[in-house]
Amino acid sequence: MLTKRHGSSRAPRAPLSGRVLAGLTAIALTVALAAVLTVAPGTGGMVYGTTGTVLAEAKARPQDGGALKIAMPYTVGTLDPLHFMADADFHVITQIYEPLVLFNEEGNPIPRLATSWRNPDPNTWVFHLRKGARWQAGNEVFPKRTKAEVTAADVVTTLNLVLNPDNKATFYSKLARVIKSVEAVDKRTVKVVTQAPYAFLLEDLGHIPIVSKQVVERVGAGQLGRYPIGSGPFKLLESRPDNQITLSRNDDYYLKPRLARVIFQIIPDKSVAAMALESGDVDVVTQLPPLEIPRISADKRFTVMAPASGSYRYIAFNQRKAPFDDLKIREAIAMAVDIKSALKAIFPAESLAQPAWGPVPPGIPGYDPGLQKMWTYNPEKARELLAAQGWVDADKDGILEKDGRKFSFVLQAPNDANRSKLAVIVADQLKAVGLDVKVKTEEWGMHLQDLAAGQADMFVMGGGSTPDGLLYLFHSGLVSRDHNTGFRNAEVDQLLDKAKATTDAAARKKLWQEAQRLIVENRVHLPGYYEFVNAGVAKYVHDFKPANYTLLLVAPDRNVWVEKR
Amino acid sequence: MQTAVIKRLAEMGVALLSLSFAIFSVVRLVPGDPFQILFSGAAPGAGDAGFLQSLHNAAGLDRPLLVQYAGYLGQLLHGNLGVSLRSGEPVILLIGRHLAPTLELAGAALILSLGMGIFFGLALSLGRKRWWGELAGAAVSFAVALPSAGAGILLIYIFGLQLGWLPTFGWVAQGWSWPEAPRHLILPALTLSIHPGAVLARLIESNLATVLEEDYVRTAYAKGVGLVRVLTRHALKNTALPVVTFAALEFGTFAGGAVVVETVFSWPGLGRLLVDAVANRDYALIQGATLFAGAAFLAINFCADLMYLALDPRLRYE
Amino acid sequence: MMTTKSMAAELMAAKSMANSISARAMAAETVPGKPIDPGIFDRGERMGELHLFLRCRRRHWLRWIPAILILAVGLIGPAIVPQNPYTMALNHALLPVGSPGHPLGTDDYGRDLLSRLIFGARTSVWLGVMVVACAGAFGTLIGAATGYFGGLVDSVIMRLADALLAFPLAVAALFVAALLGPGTGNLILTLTLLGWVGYARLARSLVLRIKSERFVEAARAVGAGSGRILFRHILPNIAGPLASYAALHIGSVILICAELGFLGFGVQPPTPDWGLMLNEGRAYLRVAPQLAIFPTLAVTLTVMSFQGLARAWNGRNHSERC
Repeated sequence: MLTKRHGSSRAPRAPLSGRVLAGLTAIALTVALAAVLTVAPGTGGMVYGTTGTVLAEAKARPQDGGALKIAMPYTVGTLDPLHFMADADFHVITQIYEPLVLFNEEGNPIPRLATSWRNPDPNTWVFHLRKGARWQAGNEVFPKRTKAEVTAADVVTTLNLVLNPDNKATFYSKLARVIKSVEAVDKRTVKVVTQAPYAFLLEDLGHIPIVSKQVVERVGAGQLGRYPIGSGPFKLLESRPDNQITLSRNDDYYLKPRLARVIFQIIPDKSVAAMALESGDVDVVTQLPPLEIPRISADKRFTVMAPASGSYRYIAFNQRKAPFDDLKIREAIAMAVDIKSALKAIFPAESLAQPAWGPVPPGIPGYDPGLQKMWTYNPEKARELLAAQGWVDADKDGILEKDGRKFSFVLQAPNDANRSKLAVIVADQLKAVGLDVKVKTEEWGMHLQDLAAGQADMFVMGGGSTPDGLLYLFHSGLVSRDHNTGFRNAEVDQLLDKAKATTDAAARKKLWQEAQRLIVENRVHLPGYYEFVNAGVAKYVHDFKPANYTLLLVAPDRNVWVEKR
Repeated sequence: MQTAVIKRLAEMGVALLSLSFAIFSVVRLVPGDPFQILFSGAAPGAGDAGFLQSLHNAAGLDRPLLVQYAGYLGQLLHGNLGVSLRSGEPVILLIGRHLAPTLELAGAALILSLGMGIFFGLALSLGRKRWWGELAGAAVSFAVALPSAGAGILLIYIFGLQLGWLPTFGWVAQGWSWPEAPRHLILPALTLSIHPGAVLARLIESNLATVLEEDYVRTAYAKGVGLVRVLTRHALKNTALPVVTFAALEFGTFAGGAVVVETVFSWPGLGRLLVDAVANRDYALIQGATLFAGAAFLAINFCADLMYLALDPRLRYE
Repeated sequence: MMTTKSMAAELMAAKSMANSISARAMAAETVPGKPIDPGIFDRGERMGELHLFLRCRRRHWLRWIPAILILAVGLIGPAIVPQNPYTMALNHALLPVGSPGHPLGTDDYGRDLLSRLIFGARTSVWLGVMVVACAGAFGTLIGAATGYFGGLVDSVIMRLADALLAFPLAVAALFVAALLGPGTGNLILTLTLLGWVGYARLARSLVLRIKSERFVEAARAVGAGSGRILFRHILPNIAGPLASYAALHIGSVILICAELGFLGFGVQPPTPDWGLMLNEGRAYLRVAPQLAIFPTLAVTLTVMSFQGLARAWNGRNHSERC
């Protein structure tokens, strides 16, 4: 026994048996996997969810209680109502806090803390506050059964906090330019006076959740993120910003929420989120991965919903760099790009994106479908235009040159799938007319820095999809991260300034469209697409509407509820 | 002995200090601006250039690097890791909040890898020239070479997608609901344990091979002591030390956060905290999380050495 | 005298280099029954116990084959790919395995998966070889020199090495970004910066071991200079263990690059890289799982091949024991 055992460690083993076996295992595994993969598409749809059941289509009676679990891809940065940044933050914050007004999916203001407002003169706004709006009780500041009303003093405190540069509130630089004074007229009336007539005050105030004066006095303006005490329909129960945020019903709210709990589950990986929806682990996914949309919308257990307004994505010319400072060149390049076919290749479902012809997305005042007529796809003509500017392929290498310089440049895109694909496809289309385009995808932070420094030649970007978006994308006087092209046009500036001061919606829309036309004529951007983030919602969730920005769960026209399963 | 411990502690201090300086300067060299990134998610018009500059100045980022570092060191000495540039929360609080999921994952992975390591280690040692030993060898070779991202994705594909048995995301705070928490834990812990488990198996195998060749073991054999008894009485005892040390050290690494596994499984641990902090250029948070990971690593190493010292009496004779 | 011991030690060493996972485990390796170096805390010494165990087998040259194959694919891959791995055809995106012209199907840009995997071998092998060459040369020189001369410089450098091991991987990735943005060159630099430590430790302990041997003493006695002794007498004698360590290190560099690529900190698109492909493929796990599974297998098989190479090499060094 001993000799044998001992010998075994010394004696040469059967040559290679281990290696061979390892190799064979690996090969077998590969083959098995390959077999599974080839079969998978056919059988893939069989066993998924275990808990989600198909429910009768019949309109069920609203039920009280239950929890709604919403999967979001982004970590919630902060719950501080003065310092929040991203949409994900706002989705959660607006359940806990309320601004004076909120905007619904169609872009119409809906009263929240303010029930009505009026403009006695173009510079004055008077807001009447809701009677019976109360601060959430059962916390460090308001003990249980406290009935502290939201008053004008709270609104004044909040706005003054925003306007105080020391607090470094997110909206400081935007509102400090606009608001002259804020005062409480009486317990439930607030007067805001602007420095000049300003059309977007309501929109801006829609971003300012009102905080309680008492809370501020008690914990300090810098600590609000740690004491989320608002007047909204839900209270914060537990917060783990990159995992799960749990809210519970605020029974004092003037509209009684039907949901007992709202849980935001952070799942950065969108396909994992889709999996969670199908297995019944979550009830709503705010952003479905595009490729899974056809399958999920075919599944009877779920509805796929798109918000009413989309987000603008574009390719911009850096006009600080030659030859993009030349309108003729920009026109030629625009002619060589076929956005429609690019979108077909990028998006598997039409509900996800629409070709953009101008910077204002549908659902935002000023959207102009007529702009499509101003764009033509004609690569032949593009070549002619470029030749007219002196760019010809003299050495027959497929690349245009002028004065010995080749037409080569970098098209830079952030490294998310859709935008980098857009860059890749557009680069291919431009190569076809003889431009040497290199695509560079950049990490978000570096992309932002390059744009701010004006370093990119041509770049893919997005933004400005709000009612005041044109101001920040194109007005040369407002230094903003969105104004990243070096575009300056006095006429456009004038129109935008005029629109900004026009409180009459119809007149403003006209000015907005006029400015937009000029911008399109100037080929500042190659508008790419309006992106509609599709949400997946289980059928047992009722009254839910997906949102681009404001996620409304409880409003006069809806009160989300979940059928008992 | 005492001097050695003191010397070692001093060395750890120096290592942490140099780590803190390296991180401090590196994060500031990286292109990308924390406030640009922060405001890129905000509504258009929020945060103009002048405002961003004022935020910079308020955070002290306009001062010379060494001045900033001196200030940071001063803070550190008071046990203050600073506040996150993104959320304004104290870094120590953020680390604390991510500690529970990290430790839970690390602990579960440790147990799993010990189990796997011992099982496969014995299989490798005892199964030489047998088909199951060779099979175990192939499996271990494969596991050692498997990237953890790939392993996680394969497990998600099999158990999450095809079989639908287990959730593939997120962490459930313990006590929130009983069967959910462990169900969410299984896949990430398994993924994290594959590599160390396989390495452990090899470690055990090689130790056993050496031990089994020792004279006293051969003597035991010669006296007619059975294999199982030889193993339990002599061989395993000698293998325990390196195994325990290895396990402790792996735990020390995991305690700093398992970046890849946490990313694959949306696990809110220190690793993902760090990755998010890097994407946001949240300087204070990157520094804090890195220092924490480094300190945890060094501390557990130190403990492992002490344990080693305590467990092996021969070391005292020298 | 090298005592032979475990592969595991080397595996851990290799892993620790870029991954900052404990090289300490190696330090824990001692030979039972043999006296242990007095300085329990002196890693450099105990690294000397890095026993390169191998159950010698005949014909270990056969175990070179997989690694050589991978190297060959990496070298001539571009010549043998069926399709251009960069050519996109978005109307042919996500074709399944076994599609005509695309044996493994296509990715979300319509690029041929097989061609990208083959090109990925080049990326990986190139990274592995470059990092190992740089880190190996640098680390060996530093380790051999410090081991030979000793003194203050020695302890300073070894402490620096200790600090480097406490560096988390994600922060290492930051280094990549810090040095002119992410990219292959910077990746090599980063992994070299983190990887030389292992070679330095190993070389140092080997030098400590043989510097008092008779042939070194003899060389010194006949008046050979330090440089000559180091390069002529010492380095050739410690090359064997270093080489097998290098073969393991190639494997672990490839593994690390895959993990970094997965996190988005490694090789940048559109360069075909296995880790990056894994990351991109993850989004399509349901519709096209092959996009994630094949890169995983490619990495695994490659790393296994280099581990086989390391064993084979090691076996050659110790053939006298068989």
